[in-house]
Amino acid sequence: MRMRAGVLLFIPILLFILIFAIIPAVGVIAVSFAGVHGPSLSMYRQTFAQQYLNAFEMTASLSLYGSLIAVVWGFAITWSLWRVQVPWLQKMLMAVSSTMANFAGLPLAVAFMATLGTSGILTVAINELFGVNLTALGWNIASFSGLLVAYLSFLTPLAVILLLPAVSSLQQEWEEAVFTLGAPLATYLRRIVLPIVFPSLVSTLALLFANAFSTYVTAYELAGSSVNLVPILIGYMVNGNVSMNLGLGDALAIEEMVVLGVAVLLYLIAQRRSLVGGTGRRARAA
Amino acid sequence: MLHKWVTRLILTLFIVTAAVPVVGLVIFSIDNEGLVQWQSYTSLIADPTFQQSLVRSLEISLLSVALTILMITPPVWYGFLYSPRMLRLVEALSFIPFVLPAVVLGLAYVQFFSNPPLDLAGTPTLLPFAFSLFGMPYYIQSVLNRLRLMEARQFHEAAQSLGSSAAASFWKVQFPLLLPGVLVGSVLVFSIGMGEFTITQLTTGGSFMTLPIYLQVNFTNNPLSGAAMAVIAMLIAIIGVFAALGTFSRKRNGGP
Repeated sequence: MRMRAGVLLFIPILLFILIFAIIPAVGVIAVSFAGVHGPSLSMYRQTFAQQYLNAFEMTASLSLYGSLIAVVWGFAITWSLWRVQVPWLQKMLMAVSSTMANFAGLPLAVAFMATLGTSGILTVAINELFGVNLTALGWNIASFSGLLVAYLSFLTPLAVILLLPAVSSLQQEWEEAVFTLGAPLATYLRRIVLPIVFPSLVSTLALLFANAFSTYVTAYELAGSSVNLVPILIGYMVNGNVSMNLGLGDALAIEEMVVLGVAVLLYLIAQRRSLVGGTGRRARAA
Repeated sequence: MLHKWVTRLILTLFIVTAAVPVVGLVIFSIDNEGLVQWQSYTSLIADPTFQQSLVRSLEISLLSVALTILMITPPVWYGFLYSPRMLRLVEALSFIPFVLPAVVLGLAYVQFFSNPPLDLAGTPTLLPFAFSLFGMPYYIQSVLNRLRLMEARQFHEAAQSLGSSAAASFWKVQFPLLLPGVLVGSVLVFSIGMGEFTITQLTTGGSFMTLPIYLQVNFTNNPLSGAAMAVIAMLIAIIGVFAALGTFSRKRNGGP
């Protein structure tokens, strides 16, 4: 009897998820397939126009470059963080990383404008100190490369947070054993480090890609419509700068969710792999 | 050793690249042709629109926190003790925001909540629900972390064997023990509420001035004042995360 009553506790949260996530999302799917006479693919056909294809290509390459650089660079950082073994530094960098990765969206974008925008502090300082005009050299925060730099400022901390558990599971003794036996660094990396860390690298890459692909605020504030990105296009369909076209927005949103779904699936598969490896290691240690 | 210098160089580079935009923002906000000025801050604090947006953001964020605590704590606790399968379902559903990003959710809300009886688009009513949804994965994980650490089952069984009802055990024994996890999760939900821009802009059309919406408008119209505001917003986020991690680690060391 008590068990039954307890299950009632799940009703509010399940209703909440149903009303505020699942049903609206299903609504998006329904409208995206709606035509004048019954179901149709006309909205999807419209998304194959050059402008939207370009947007997908642009968003995908921005996300891919961003996540690849962030994973490699983030691995180097976690590796160093694990090597130096300074607990307070580790804790502080994790807290700062967590802030930058999850909670600083708009302020961070504004910080980039204030620092590296056309009249940003650093842009002006470099011009006055060294006589180098970054803008004249082609630097522009409202461009693909500008966005890439800004995206890295939250993708790298996210990579550090996600990679640290795997990297800190490496044991110092393994390294010593390998070098004592006379193997070169490359062998150590290829035979020991990579097999342990690889699943985490893949899952992190997938999650960063999804994160970059769905980023809106940073792109909106820094570039607006001057870089052709999918989330920005969807936002404009709602905000109606030109004309409110919700059906087309819905089709783009579904296509974006398919991309995100694939990335998250890859994340989950790789995550499971790294968990299996984790229990194996723990079992061996025990 | 070469190794040592390489690791130090990498960490230094990471800290410097992370600090550059933040330091740049702070300098930008106090710079007056090479002299320090605080006017951007003093006039911001005196600005009634800023005050109003701050109050609104606080209200909405606290409302999101209350909603999250009431709605999510009991089922997570109950699921942890009695119903792992339901807990797994809730945990899996809590990851929905990762495939349903803010822009898409905004687009969905504008359509779904534009007809009676749920004619809510254009009003701020939707915001606490959306923020709760975004905060859900963080909140559930911090409560679960606490449940795993505090030996919830033993305490619960002890209370019950001494004749306490399940509800009494929850309120008198479990909830106080659970509090650190609830607090950490609440701080994270609160931080999300104070910083959320996308859903707020898309569902209210930017007419409801929260802190982030005003930050965006203000930076466009008056960069100096906007930069000062961004510094304040960033401070709120940093304090929030440090508070959350601080409580958590202290409780982990000194917990039962």
